[in-house]
Amino acid sequence: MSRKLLVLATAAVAVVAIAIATRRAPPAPGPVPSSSLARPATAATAATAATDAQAPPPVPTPSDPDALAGLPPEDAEWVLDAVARTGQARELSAEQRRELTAQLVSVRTHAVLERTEPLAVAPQESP
Amino acid sequence: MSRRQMLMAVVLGVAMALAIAAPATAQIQITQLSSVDASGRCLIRPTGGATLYARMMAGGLSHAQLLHHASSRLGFGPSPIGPLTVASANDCSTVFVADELARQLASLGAVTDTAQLTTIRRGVFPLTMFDRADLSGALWALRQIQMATSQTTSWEARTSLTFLKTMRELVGSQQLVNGALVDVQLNLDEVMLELWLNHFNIELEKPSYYAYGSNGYSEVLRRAHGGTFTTLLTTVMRQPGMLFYLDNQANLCDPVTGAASNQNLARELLELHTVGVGPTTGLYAQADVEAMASALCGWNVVPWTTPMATGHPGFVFNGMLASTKPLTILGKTYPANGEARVTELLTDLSKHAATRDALCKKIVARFHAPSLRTAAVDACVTAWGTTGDLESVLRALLQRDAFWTAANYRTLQRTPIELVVAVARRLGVKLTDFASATTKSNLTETPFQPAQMGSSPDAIAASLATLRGAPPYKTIRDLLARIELMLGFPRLKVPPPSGYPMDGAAFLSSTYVDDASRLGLEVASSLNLLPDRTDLSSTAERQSLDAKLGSATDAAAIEWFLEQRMKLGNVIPSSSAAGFVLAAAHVDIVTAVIGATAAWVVHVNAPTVARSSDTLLGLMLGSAYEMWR
Repeated sequence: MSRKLLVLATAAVAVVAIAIATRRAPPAPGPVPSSSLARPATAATAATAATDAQAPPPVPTPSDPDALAGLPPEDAEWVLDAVARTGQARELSAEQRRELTAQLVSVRTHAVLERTEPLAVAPQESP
Repeated sequence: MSRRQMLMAVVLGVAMALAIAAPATAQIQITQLSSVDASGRCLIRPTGGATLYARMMAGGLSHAQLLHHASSRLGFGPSPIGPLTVASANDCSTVFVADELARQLASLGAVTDTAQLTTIRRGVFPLTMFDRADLSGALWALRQIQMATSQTTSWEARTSLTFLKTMRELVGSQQLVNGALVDVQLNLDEVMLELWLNHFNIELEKPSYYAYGSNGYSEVLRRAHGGTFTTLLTTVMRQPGMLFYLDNQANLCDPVTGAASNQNLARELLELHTVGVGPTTGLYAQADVEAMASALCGWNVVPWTTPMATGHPGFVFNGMLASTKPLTILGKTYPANGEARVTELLTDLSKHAATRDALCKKIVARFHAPSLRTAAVDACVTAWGTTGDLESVLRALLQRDAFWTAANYRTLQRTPIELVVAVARRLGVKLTDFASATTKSNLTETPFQPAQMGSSPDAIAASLATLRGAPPYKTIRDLLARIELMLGFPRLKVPPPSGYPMDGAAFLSSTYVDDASRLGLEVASSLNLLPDRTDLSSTAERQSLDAKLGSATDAAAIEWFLEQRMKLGNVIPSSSAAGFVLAAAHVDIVTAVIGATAAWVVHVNAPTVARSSDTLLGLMLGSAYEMWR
């Protein structure tokens, strides 16, 4: 192996290692403790979320498990984590994991769409 | 056979013969309200509503007051349309109301729209006509092609459900009889549906695609509130609209600990929908909420983008997400048996005594003055039974004298929704005006079908633009804007799970009263958007009043208009046989204002007699009087 190749290989390993090290932890599932927290978001917070959102992700096709790639990273991780934990504990088959993935992707996609491109928008015409 | 036995046999035989020979008693028709004898007694007697009639008559109210009371509490306020009006109330109108009320009690949850209302629906709110799954799938497909059209179509799908609900309240009690429009004044189905929609409130915007269409959330509840509370609760808790609104689609149980990730639905199910108290009252604790949330893991929605057969309920129990542990809730342990556990839990909750008590208080508060509620709640509790038979509960409440007494008459404040609808009805809003305007706007054909949405977004956008420009659409949207202003939220878009206050007194403020004071004029202006209408704010009616004002004293003209046109009955205190009487102070105000043109509603170009009718409408319908029901 030439010295140049060795340097390239080392750099590649380093990039992968950094990527793994900086990978965001999935949101920890847990009970929602407060009734006030349990209320749906207000229009104001929803508007803030929409304003904060970055460019919309590619539109996924949630009935297809491959659509996972269309979700933003944190949402995809949420799905992966849920499927992995449930799959391991319940000893789900590959087919069951696919079904579960599709279900959770759809759930997550709805939330993603809402915070990027709202599902419903009032017409701009004057009343 | 003894002599006594023989006598009994003869009596029995005669009774049977009479029963066989007697012709079936016909129910009174709305065209027969003048069938009274010299003493004022109706020649046609109540049939299905005989018990109700007896209770109504025992309460001590006049026939006019009885009709006003029934139309205000069991409908959305009196209308001057047809022969059944406060002004012409008599014993026959009370007989009719009793029979009609019995009929409406028996058909709760099974009411169908009239042909004219269906015409309006197909033309003006077409997106309410389609299956939710079809509509959602089409919206999703449209989204891939043209985002903006999909978004406005989705908005239209939600908004049109509020249009439909409001239209049913405005004119749902009207129908054509022998070609003439009549109003039966009662609209119990819509009154109760509003109560249940608010009890199980969801903000339709959040679940969006999960709640639209002919079998969307509000329409499903419309079909489910005529049975038992157990059925109603079970139906609601399987609605994807409710599940998504309270985030249960994202409620996952930790596969190891069984802890739920979201308690929203569980908490509101206990606190708002059933037992009705918080977890600090001693009835249950936070642990019960957490256990309930665990039980609801896997109680989920079918992804709205998944192709679904027509009529698919949208609900799915996903066993992979469910808790596998036994759970103890309100002192009872439920084994981990999947979907059956939740069904059992919902049934138990619906039958819980605290649920019965909470629901009885809520229903009674809708119909009874505060001073009458304790006894009414007792009657409700007795009628509730084991499953909460909702028809029996209502029947029990309405068959008590107390409901029909002066102590219960005009003692409750209207909510903003009721107020706007009541004012429009008082003005004489007509089903036929909306229907003919729909036809004239060429909206009789449904402009699009879900199947077309994915292929022709521009055509959809054009159809929607046409729809929004049509007079009947603008009129109903204008009325809803009035409701939104006073309610604080658009209809069916009230954010808190607890809904809006159904006690209209909760809205009272100086701003609210100020807004209410202009409702008569503003609602009249909304109706002005309908061409060729014949309600009391129409040009023809204004000209009639103006002519009368020019040829008679102000007071006589006022009385003529209120009694003859608005059919309010004996509205001036000096009249005999009080039926619907203005407070003396209010009459003074009306007389003073109508007699001083300087005080008339400011109309920059013409503060003349031409505006007197508007002034009068504003004073009458925007007054504090109209805020009571």
